[in-house]
This record gives sequence, structure tokens and C-alpha cells, in this order.
Amino acid sequence: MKILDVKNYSQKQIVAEAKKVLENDLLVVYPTETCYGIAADAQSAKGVDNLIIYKGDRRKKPISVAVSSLFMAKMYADFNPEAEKIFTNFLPGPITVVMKGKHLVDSRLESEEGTLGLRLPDYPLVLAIIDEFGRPITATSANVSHGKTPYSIEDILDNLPRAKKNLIGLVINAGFLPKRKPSTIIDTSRKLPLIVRQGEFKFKKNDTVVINSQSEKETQALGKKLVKINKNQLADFCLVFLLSGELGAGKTRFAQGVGMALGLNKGIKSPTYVYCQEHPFLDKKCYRCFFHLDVWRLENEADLLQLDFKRMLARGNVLVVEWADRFPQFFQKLGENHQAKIIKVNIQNIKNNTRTISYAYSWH
Amino acid sequence: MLILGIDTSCDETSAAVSRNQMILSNVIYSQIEEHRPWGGVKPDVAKNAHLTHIDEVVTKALRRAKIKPDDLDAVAVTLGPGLAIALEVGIAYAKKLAKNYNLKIIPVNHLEGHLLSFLAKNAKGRCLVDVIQLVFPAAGLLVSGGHTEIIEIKKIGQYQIIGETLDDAAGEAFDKIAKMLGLGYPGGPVISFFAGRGQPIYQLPIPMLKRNDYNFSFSGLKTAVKNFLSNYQQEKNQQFMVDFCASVEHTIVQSIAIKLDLYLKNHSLNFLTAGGGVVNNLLLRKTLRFLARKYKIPIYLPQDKKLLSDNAAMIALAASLHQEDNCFLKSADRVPAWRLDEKIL
Repeated sequence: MKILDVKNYSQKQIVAEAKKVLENDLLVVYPTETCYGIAADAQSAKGVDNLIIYKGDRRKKPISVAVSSLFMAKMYADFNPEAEKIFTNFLPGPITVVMKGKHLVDSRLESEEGTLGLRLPDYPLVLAIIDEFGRPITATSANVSHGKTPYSIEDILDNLPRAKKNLIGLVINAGFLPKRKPSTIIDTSRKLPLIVRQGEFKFKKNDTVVINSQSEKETQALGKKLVKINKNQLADFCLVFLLSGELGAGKTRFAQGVGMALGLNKGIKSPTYVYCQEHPFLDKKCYRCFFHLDVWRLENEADLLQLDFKRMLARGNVLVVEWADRFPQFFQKLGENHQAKIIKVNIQNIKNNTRTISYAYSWH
Repeated sequence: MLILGIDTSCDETSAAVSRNQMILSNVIYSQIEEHRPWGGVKPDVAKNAHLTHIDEVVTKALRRAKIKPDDLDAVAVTLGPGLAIALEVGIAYAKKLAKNYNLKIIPVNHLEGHLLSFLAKNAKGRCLVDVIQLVFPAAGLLVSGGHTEIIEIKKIGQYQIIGETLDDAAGEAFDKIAKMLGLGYPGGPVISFFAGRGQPIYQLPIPMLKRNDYNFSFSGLKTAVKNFLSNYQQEKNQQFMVDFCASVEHTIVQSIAIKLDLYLKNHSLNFLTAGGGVVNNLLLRKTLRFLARKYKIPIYLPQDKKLLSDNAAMIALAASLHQEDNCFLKSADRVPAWRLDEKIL
């Protein structure tokens, strides 16, 4: 087993070494944009044998395969329009796209239904190896089954039995990788694309729900409901409500509902004058903060940043932004923040006491 | 006792010097720039704006009071309520001063400043009423862009919130309705200006009339105005505008007056005072004076317009009335949602 540090060797040297190892049906541990992965020649039965011995008990779980381009991907799987859209729009990136396989890789990598997971890693070194090698490589994480997700080579090699160590021909050491979740797996082989595993990457979901509110109380109740649905996962992200609607639409009412769901029954008033009100609340014994913003009086995006907007986006916090439609581009960019779950709420058609409220989750 | 007051609770950076209750200087940044229409209305958001101006404002306040920082006894600073990051700037500055010149820090609630600003003495020592002549409990009304509250003043430093707005503040309602009428922002003063030329002939619902508590709500009024404007078929000419402005003003002032009336009727109180920017409104002043006459109690309204807006003189003033309470603290921290009836120490 050889360990090559990316700092000490050129890409060319590493690629050449990796190619040699893969051709000898041994395994290569390589860094990716998520965690360390382990590669075997996807078309060699012996290589896949070694991989399965290394990984241990798999219970016939399929193993995804990394390719270096859309062109290469099309050689190994049947593309439908959905898969093509994902490839062109989001890849390379931390997404595994499951499609109908063409049975050109080892059959143990495909699922029992004949589907194959394809990955196009956003890591130039890996793409270079695949290009040079000319065949797809396996793209499973480098831990043995049920082991912890590896973000450094110590995670893999410590306590690894010698028999398994001997299966590894090369370890490409890139030090500690940033702790990102594994790839998001999306199955496009069904009628509707299905997210099998939610990873780092979040697909945008724009299902707009429209309801009619007959009174202020109903507007408030909607705010309450939307928080309650999401409250359990609060520790994982910042919940952001972007409210739009005319003066007198009931945005502050909605914010009061949000506050009530967080146990804040009093003191939620219009923040127009002070721009932003902070209301600390307790969630599972953790202090979090409910920020109630009103950007009506702000003139530009720089002002918004001056309010320490970025700090508010910490995980576990809840934000309600009134008049968010004044700065659409700013909040669009906000969507790229991985920690935020954004719900856009639009209040329209104000006639006497009835309003049409539409809301949509936008995942990014 | 010479106190330097600092207030950075929201848009305005302000510093003032007071000797006991006498205001020696009161500098508000937005008024330094003479070219601004209607005094400091463009929201200069918080932190950076305060950071750039605070030094200048404090220096100017000390110069106008003709004193040196060494002469000061204490520095009073607003800890809340207000915008968190704006408050931080003033607090950090006060701490720095306190450290450099070995001063005490007196934390002040911004609302208490508004409430007590009627006690200010001008540079000649003239005042409406001296603090030792006051008899408690008394009724206080706070109406500004950010607050609308009825407060029972049990004694200086001890307050109880009797009623407050559940959504928008009265000043905000003025501003937002002005915006709906196309009068720009902030439109409170503009509505008052027009209202003086019209008659309140349009019926708008007075909010919270049926409820027996002392709370306010102005969001329903916004909706009512919206509905009225969309249903109004005739031409919206100048006469309509002045009359409609008069109606809006009348409705807002009435809704405040009705609750205050109820409160004064049910409790025996010794005087009435009011603070906050909306107290500039002439109809409100008139109505408050009428109420005071009705219940035969004296009314004290701050005379200087500067004392009604957000300013630091009222902070220094409140601090000077507080000095016996021994509430000095070095480790002051912001309290963005500080209610007047809460003790933070």
C-alpha cells in the first residue's frame, strides 16, 4: 500500500500511479468534495470482488459509479429527460443520479432492478484519474460497511485489519476534508424523481400551496402551523420566512403566529421602526433567536448586510422578513446558503377580511 | 452631577450633557446636516452610520456644554429597547469613555427617557415642574414610531405597562397610511399638516373599541384605509386629501384618547405626561390637554421639540434622576427588547 500526499506529488504522478493500481485490480482511496471514496475498476470482476471484500457486509446494496463527463455517463446508463436536466444543471457536484443501467459495469454494482447510480465528482483530480483510466470507477465511501464516514485517511486506516489493508493499492492523501454530508441520491428511474438520501445538496422544490385566509386569526394560525411542521429539524438549519404583500396585508399577524409556535406569546409587534427585533426562545434546552425583520425602510442591500444579516442565519434561528420582495436578488442569493430553509409567503388579493396566501418551500 | 448621555437606539446618533436635570447640550446627528428635509428622516442604517458619527456627536455635545471629559461624573447610555447592533455601538463607546476617564456607567431604558423628558430644565434652569413637587402615581403616554404604550408611573424608576399596541405603533400607522396616500415616507408630519386644513368627514373604524383593556391595535386601520381607498369612486382631489388626512388623524388620536380616558376614569392618578415623536401632533396635544382638564389633573408635555424625538438629553436626564438607585454597572450589555416594567439588574 502506497500513500501519496497531494502536496508532495504532482497530479500527473498521482494519476499515473492510480491508473497502475486500478489496472492491477487493487483499490484506490481518493478524496472527493464530500468524503474519501474508494475506487475499483467498475468493469473488472476481480476489482469489484476486492471492493466487496473490503467493504464487508453489503446486503446486495448497489454501489454507485463515478464518471468524468456526461458523454461517458451516457455510455453506461439510459438517460431520461429528468436525469439529463440534473446532469446539465447541477453536475459536477455532490449528487448521485440513479438511472436505468446499460449493464456494462459489473452486475453487483447495479441494483436488483437494474438501476445504476452515477456520480460526477466536483474534484479535478478524480476526474483526471477517470479520464486517464478510461473506465468508470466505483464511488462508494472509503469506510468499511457501518463504519464512520471518512474525512481523513486516519479515519480509514486506523484499526483496519491487515487483510483489508492489503487490498488497497494506493491512498491519495489530501489531509482533512471539510465535513460535508454524503452526496444526495436522486432516483430518476421512477415516474417522479425521488430523493433517496438527502445529502449536502438540496434540490429546489417549488410546490406552491395556496390557501384563503378569512381573518387575521387564520393568517396567524398559518404562521404557527408552518413553524410547527419544521420545528423538529430546527437544529439543522435556519428557518427563513420571506413575506411579501401590500401594506395592511397581515404580515405582522403572520409573524405573531410564528412567534406563538416558538412559545413567544407576547411582544411581537411591527419592527418597521427598529428594522429588526430579536426574541430569544428556548428549543430543546438550547437558546435560539427569533429575528423579526422589516426591510420596508431600507434603501439598498448594503443596509441589509449592515444589520448583521449573516449572523442571524445561524442554525436553529428563525427569521421572518417582511417586505422581502423589495430585495429579490439578495434573498435569491441567500438561497445558496446551505443552512437555510426558505419559505416564501405571499399575501394577496386583499378584499375586506379575506386574503389569498400562497407559500412555497424553496430548497437549494 | 454632570452626566453625558449617549443614545444610539435606532436611526439617530445622539449625545447630550446634563447637570442634574438641566440640559446643557443636546446633539442629534441628523440635525447636524442642515440640508436634510425634515430633520434626519432617511434611515441611515445603524452600525456603520453610528460608528462614523458618534465621535463627532459626543465631541460636539461636550463643546456646546463647555466642559471637558474629565469634568464628567458619569456616562449614561441606552441599553434598549432598540436595534441590537445600533445599541452596541453606543454601549461600546460609553464603556470606552468610562474606562478612559474613570466614569460610572448608568444604563437607561430609552422609553424611560421619553417618559421623563418633561422634567428637563433649560439652560437657565427653568422647568415645567420640579421633580420634588411630583406626586405619584401618575399616567404616562408614549407614542412614537416604534411604541404606543400607556404607563403607570408608580414612582421614578418604577413603572407598569397598562396598555400597549399589539401590532403597529401609532407613529408607524401615520407613516404607513401616508405612504398609501402617496405622501411619501415618513408621512406622519405631512398628514398632520394636511389634516389642519380639512374636516374629519370620513368614517373610519376606531380599533379595539369593544375591548375593555387598554391595548391598542392599528393594523386593522391600515386595512380599513386600504378598503376605503379602493372603494372610493370619486376623484381624489385636494379637498378629498385634506379631509381624508383629517379623518385619519382624528381616528388615530381618538383611539389613543379613548383608552387613555378609560384608564384615567378607572384609576386615580395625579398628573398626566406624554413623550415620543407623535406628541408633536397638535390634535393629540389638544386632546391630552382636554383629558387632563376633564379629570382635573395637571399635564406636563415636553416643550422642546428636540426632546420628543429620539435624543440623548432625555437619557442623561433619566440617569440623573436615577443616581440614588445605585444602578451603576460596568458590564453593561444591550437589551434590545427591554420592557419598561422589567428590571435588568
